[in-house]
Amino acid sequence: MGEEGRSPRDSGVDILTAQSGSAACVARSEKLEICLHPPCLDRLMVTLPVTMAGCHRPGPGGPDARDGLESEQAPLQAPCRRRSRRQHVRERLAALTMWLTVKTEPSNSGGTASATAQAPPSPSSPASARASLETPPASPTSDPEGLWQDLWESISASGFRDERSAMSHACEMWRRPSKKSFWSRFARAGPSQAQHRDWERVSMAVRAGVPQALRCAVWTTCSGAIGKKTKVASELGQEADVLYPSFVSQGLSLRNEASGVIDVDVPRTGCVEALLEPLRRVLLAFAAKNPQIGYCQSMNFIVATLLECCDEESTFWILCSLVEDMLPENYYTRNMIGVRVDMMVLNSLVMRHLPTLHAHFVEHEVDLSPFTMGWFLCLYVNTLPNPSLHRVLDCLLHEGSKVLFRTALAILHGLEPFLLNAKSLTKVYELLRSPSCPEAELLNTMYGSWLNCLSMDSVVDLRSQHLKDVLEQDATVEARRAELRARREIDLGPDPGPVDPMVARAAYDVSDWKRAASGTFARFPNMAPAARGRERGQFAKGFLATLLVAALWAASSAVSGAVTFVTGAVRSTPDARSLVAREGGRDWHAGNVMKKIDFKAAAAQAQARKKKKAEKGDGKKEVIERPKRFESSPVYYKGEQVATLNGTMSEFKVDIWSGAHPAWQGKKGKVLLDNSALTKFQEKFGMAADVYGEQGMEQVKANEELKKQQEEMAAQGLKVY
Amino acid sequence: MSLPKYKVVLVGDQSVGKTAVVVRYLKNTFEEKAEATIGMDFQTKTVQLLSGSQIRLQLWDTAGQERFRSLVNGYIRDAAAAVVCYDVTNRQSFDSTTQWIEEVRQSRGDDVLVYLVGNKVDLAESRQVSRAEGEAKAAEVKGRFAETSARSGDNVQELFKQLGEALAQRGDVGGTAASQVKEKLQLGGQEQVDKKNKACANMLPRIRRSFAEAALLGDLP
Repeated sequence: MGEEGRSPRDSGVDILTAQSGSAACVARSEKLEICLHPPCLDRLMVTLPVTMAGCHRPGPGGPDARDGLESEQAPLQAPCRRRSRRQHVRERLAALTMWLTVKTEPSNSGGTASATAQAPPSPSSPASARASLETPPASPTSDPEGLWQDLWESISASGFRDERSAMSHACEMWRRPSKKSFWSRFARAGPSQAQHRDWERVSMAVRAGVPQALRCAVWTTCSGAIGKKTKVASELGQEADVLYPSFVSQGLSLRNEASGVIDVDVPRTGCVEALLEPLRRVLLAFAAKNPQIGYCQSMNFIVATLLECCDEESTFWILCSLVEDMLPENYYTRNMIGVRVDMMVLNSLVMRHLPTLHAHFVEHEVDLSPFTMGWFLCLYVNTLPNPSLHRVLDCLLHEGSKVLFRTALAILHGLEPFLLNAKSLTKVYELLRSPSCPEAELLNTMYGSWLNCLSMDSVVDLRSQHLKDVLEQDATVEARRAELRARREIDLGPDPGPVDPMVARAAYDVSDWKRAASGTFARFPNMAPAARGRERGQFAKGFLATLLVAALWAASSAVSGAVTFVTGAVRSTPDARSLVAREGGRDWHAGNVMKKIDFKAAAAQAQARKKKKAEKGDGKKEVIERPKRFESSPVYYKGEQVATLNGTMSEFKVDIWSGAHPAWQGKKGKVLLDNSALTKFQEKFGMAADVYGEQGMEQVKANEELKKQQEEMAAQGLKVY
Repeated sequence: MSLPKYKVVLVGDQSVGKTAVVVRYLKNTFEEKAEATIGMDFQTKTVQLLSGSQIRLQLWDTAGQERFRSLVNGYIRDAAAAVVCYDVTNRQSFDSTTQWIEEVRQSRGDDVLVYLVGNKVDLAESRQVSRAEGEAKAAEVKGRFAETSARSGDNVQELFKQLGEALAQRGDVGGTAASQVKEKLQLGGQEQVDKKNKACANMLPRIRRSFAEAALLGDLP
């Protein structure tokens, strides 16, 4: 509590400050309305100058936080100018009543502690209320905490603790993942304007950080857990309070995959001993309640974190609300499509908001999703240190799944300078494994103006876009799997018997080419329109490359028909020709088309020419005199034979030879071909040995051996030449 | 100079000890209650080969729970080697190795080096899968076999050493492995480019041959 040092009046003023702070924010755009105050209200406002002065106090989340908030709220504020004056007066009176109630309450009850005890609206959280009495928050006078106490008192005092109250209603509105249409905006704007005003205030306070003592209560309310509980109770026709115990008992009797994994995972969650049993019960109860979800690894971490702040039953309902309502569908279900879609959404968001970083990742071929997958599934448990984690969870449970993206982007933004220096996968992952962001900075970045346009609507849009891609991917993989299975069945089927290896090789080559080509063709129509546009360029490239290769093959195998066909195909598309030219490294400009060659005819001509020549030669046999060739004629130096040579002389008499040369005394140095073209070539294209033969490979090996020898010598401290 | 890199994935059912094997290999420690892996984890280690050269292993540790499969599958397909783990005290984990192997082999077929690894051999008394069975299965899937214990550290270092040697021996595949690690990006176009390159590589000898034939038959233009 922060009020020990303050008078009740002070706290009252503070409450009104907080209360009307947002009202003034809303009213900023409509100054006109302030002039329309009824005289009595005007007088009251004048008597409270402190209140008005406090209105301009910047929000605890910093000016950025307010900007972010307003940008999302802006469309809702517009229609309120149309409100009647009577309505306006009624609202002012309600605010005044609230202020009076709150102002008098602490002095009546004689202490602020009891006010806190009433504060948590959740009927199921007496434990945390008691905890708040025993352990006062660490920094009682800090701004967010004071703001919170005041806010919470005013909310609980004005009857908002009821789940059908304005606040819960506003919660639902905010989090609802469906797209906000113009009509729904309009419909909501009238009667719920007051709710939104409260809502904005709550958002500001939540973003400023929830005091530890209030966390359970705030999480339960803001996540819609109370609403969930009553809803389930009315659906099942049972008392709300017996629901959880009944789920637990169902869960304890579960004997399926979920219960098995839970039993393995609970002891290795890494939480304190006392929490293990509640953790297990909550997970089992959830598995019993949602048989189609059951249990997914990572839920244990989330529940353990929730249990640190909340009691068991609230944790259960928060988990239910979180998984069933707040996170998108299929987040923890069998195929986890939700997470895969969100990974792609995050990628697009990184591209949109951190273009430099995205370009860097693309350049160095770093894929973030293996890491961010864990972030999203665990809701940053195990990633962020505790204070920041709690702040993120505050916002997440309040505002919904877009906070996941905001957090990821904020973390990346904070690490951007380091990430831009990291040039390999390893380094990037080292940085991302435990991102260290100070909590205040993280939150400021999360709600900074650079993310203004990141609203739930845009996230929902992106999700629906990427869902298509993911489904397509799945279909492709499934098709491939089916194909493989079919091929394996064929392989295992009738034994083809011994085949001539050459024939088999040829058949394989052709089928391989056909497969490659048909793959390219077949994939084309399957693409979705969105993806098609994006990848058309690459497809066209691949397609044309295949064509080119096919053309060369066809031409050189002397299939002139194929040449006509292919050149025809190439000629039919003007930009295709330039592409082919570029791919082929040739300059085929317009008009300079490939010459048609009839290989058969050419071969026949050549044969005929040869034949004719041979016939002609028969008449006058031309005799060509060639010098006589001697094999291994001796070489004499000073009358001694020192070597043998091949040549046109029967013997060589020399004055000098390499054995008796004054300067050149034979091979003494070593010739390292390290940088020689041949070696380099073989090192690079050693794989293509079937084309170029083993030529030069022995030199590569010799070099390697020599290098090793030299290294050994160097290691022994010998001098290496 | 960058060392040749090889992507090695560890797959297998949950709580068979994939993470424990990796931790034992990298840090030579064992944690009794290791936290479950969510999504994927990534480590690298440089391996000193007998021949004196070095290679780098990129170890991708994956989540084991069945529902994570669709999530993880996209990232394990391009691996140069797969360490398919099972728990020798758990028959079901042994049975599901078939599916994991199938998944790993899906895109690169027999190019992938598969190691079938039975973990937790220190728990001999509650053993459900015998060594012979494991060996038979490994032979059936054309993989290699090892039995390890992350707790006692048996065989873990040897496993990766062997793996490194085997990967380095198949250098030609490895040469592509490094680039394949890089090429894996969720931008779908990469695959197409790869296909194109492959097609060209297949064509090369044939083009040469046919040109030679043409030269034999007559003169080329």
